[in-house]
Amino acid sequence: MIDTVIEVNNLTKYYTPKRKAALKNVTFKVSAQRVCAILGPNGAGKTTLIKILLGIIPPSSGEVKILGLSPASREAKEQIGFLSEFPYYPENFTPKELLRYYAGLFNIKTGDKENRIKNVLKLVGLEEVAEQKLRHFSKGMLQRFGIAQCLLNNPKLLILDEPMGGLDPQGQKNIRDIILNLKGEGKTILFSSHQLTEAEMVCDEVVVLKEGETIIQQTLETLLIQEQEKLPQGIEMLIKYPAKEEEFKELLPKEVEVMLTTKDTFRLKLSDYKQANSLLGKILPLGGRLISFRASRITLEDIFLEIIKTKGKQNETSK
Amino acid sequence: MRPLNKIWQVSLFTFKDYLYQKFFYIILLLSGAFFCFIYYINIFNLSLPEKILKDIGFNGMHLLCYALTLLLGITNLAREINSRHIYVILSKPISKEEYLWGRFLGAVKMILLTIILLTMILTLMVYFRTGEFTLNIIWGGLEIFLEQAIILAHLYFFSLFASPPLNLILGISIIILGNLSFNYIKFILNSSFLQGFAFFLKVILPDLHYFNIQSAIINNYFISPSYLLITTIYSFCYTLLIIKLTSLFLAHKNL
Repeated sequence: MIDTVIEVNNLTKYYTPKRKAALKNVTFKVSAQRVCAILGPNGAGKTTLIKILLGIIPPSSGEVKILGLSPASREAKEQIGFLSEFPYYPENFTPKELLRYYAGLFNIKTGDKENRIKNVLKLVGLEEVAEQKLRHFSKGMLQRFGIAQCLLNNPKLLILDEPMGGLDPQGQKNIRDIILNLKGEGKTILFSSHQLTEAEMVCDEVVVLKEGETIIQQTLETLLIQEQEKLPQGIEMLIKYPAKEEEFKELLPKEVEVMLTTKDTFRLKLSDYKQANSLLGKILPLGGRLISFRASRITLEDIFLEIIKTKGKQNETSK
Repeated sequence: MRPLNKIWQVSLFTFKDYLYQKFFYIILLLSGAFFCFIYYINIFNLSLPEKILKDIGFNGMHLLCYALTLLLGITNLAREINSRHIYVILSKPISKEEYLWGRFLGAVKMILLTIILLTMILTLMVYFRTGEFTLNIIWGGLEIFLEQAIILAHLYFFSLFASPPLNLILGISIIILGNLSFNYIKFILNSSFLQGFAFFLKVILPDLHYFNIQSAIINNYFISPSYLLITTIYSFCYTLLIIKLTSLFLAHKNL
């Protein structure tokens, strides 16, 4: 079995020679049976990277291997399932008709074809609408159909471009559950996403791109531990205090952030326990009440925003 | 056999996709209305009714085919690229060239079906009007089909770098220039520079007037099989060349 499913070395892509590089010396690896999230702000080069991984566009320089093969080769493509960002599927067709077309491109044998179609539709919960035209489908259903089409060839590698983009919370949960199931089956998954909370729930590894460059490639666990030391830990408190906002604010140290105020209830963000203790010591004797108290955990979103901010400042300084 | 199978799959899908769309039925409806109109007009015209029926009928069929080809040619690839459905397909084990051929042949099938239906209607109309069955209308249908294949191939080529409105203008230009003779160009253009430029375009663009056998149809002249064979080979080679060129450009295009 091949250990490294995706191998990208010094990948650079220029759309036109005079323009800025869409990707600059991007290097990373994804091991078998791992889920890797490609993160980055708009224009970071995520979609360009995915197109190169699929062999749709050629790189300007550098090397890309999928399961040890060139991404444009038929052998590599037979092992890949791809979900496009905001995909359009010909809406006059039914899921079954379209899946038969896609199955034909994989040369799946006629006897096997119908079984596979039935299985993937069942997996994404669309078997009951298999004969309905796609124009009657909601966005969430279309996204599930997208997942079904990329599982048709039973791929070793799944490449998902913004799988949760534009979906409502229920739709995001459905897609997340499907990804977690596939992860459980031992598939290697690479996905790009803007939904960092959702990404954190499913990924093992993170690659962060900014302006075409790899800023970070690490396992999620290492990244969280590493960044936990750098970023301040927060504490959130909900306090009821019988006074006006201005009076209440006078009691607070400058560093305390008032996140939300409703009548006489205040949501506060504090930097540590020491600060929380001292504040409660002041407020409780004056008739204040502590309603809730929780330590805010560092998230992938906090790390991502911090990295993007730091990198932006570094770039400005270097200019 | 594998590449041919994939081309077949894409062409079948493209053809089905067109069959599901309303415009095909609108074109058929318009054709039916047009043929009914000229059929009944003909009844009241006593001078050479057969010639008029063939003339107007054949011209109408030709124009409808131009409209269909332009519509298919400017939307086929552009729609796939703009909707990103092309990414879904190209992520599967199919090359850009196989995909292009599949899309092209799917549209060609659609044009062929339309021409067969229109030729049948015109042949039957002439038969009911005159009691004679003429093969020339069928050969006329074949020539229209060969001409449309070349125009369609050009529209595919242009759609790689032109927007649909520009592609439409380029397509109409190909039809006009391709149907003009050298002498006519000389007659309408005064400037020698413009004449030279038009002649240059005429040399590199296809000669579509070879496919126009309207006078032979109207006057019931004999159409030699060798002429039909030569125009078939000409259309086949020209189409092959343009589609091959398009696939070379598509292979290097940053989609």
